[in-house]
Amino acid sequence: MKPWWLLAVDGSAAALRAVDHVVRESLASAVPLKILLVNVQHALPSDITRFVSSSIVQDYHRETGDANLASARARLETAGIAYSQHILIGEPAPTIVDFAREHGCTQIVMGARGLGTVSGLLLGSVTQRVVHLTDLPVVIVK
Amino acid sequence: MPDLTSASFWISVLQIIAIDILLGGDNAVVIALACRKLPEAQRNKGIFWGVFGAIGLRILLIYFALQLLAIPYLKIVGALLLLWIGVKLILPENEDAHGNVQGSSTLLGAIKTIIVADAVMSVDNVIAVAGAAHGSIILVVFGIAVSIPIVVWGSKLVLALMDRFPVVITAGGALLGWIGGGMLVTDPALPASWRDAVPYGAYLASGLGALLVVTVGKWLASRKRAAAASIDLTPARTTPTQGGSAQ
Repeated sequence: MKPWWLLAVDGSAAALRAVDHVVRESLASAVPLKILLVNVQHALPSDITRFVSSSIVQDYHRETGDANLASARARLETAGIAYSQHILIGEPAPTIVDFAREHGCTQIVMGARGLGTVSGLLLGSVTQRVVHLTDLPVVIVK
Repeated sequence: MPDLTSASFWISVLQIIAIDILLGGDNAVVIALACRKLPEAQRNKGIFWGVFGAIGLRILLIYFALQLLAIPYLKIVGALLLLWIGVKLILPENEDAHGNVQGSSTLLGAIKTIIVADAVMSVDNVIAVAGAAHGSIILVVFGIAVSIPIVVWGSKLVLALMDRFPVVITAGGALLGWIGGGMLVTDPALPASWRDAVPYGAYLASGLGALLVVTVGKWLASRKRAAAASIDLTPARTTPTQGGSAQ
């Protein structure tokens, strides 16, 4: 089976270490890896979006997502690794897990603790929930 | 002069600050979103007048807020409104509930969005503050004063807060439910003997209000999540870009 890796990134330092890990693995791998670079953003409350058109809200999410992915993208590109970029809206953990399943990913790679709520000392809350929800192997980079 | 040594006074102060951060901050976010596609000169003007309107309406509404709440049944209406705002806060955005669908990339569109949002959100904010103030005009004025810097500078703060600590939204919805529940049973139309019939009746009503808002909000959100999964904003770029192009 062709290795499809979902690389979840939020702009944190740990996420960038996860990117570096993927770069190393990818350069060492005999078969080319397929990398899906993903950033998930929380949906805005409908208290806000009821006044604003969806195209403006999506533009906002797209720009924020682009900024969150910028450093990861730069690292992958300097290493010359092919990837596809996805900006998703929803609750981070279930969104990552669903996206990985829908796209037939074989593995999820993410940082140990990102920018999410402080609920675990060693593992971030999003990472914890992804591990809990998915059937796929999850590589957690510290 | 309010009793500065009483706990309930300071609890009201904290509740009012929390309300202002959420509702005033949301107002600021709407203004920023509505103006973000405008050319810079127009954008600054749009933001200035949007903020001006939001603050002006709040100051105007202070005067009416407390008087209105003394009229029978209006507290009940205000309370129901608060419960609904709480649910709206918890519910994430969805496709079919967007206002102003044609988009507001023009100045006129942005102005329309801002006027509607300012009017609705100022009313929301003032009712919530009046509910938390329990009839103290000093607290209402304090609440509006606190909301001013938040409307002016709060949009980034609120967006960051919602991104990093999404639980803040749920807590905010619960707070609005708490205030709404308490407001409901203190309406002058309801005889005081009803309230005193149940021990801690006001707290009970507040608690039920908070519970109701969180349950309904979460339930609707989960139903929507089942209906429509996450949105992928970059379908155009799903074909892998050939690496090396940047070298």
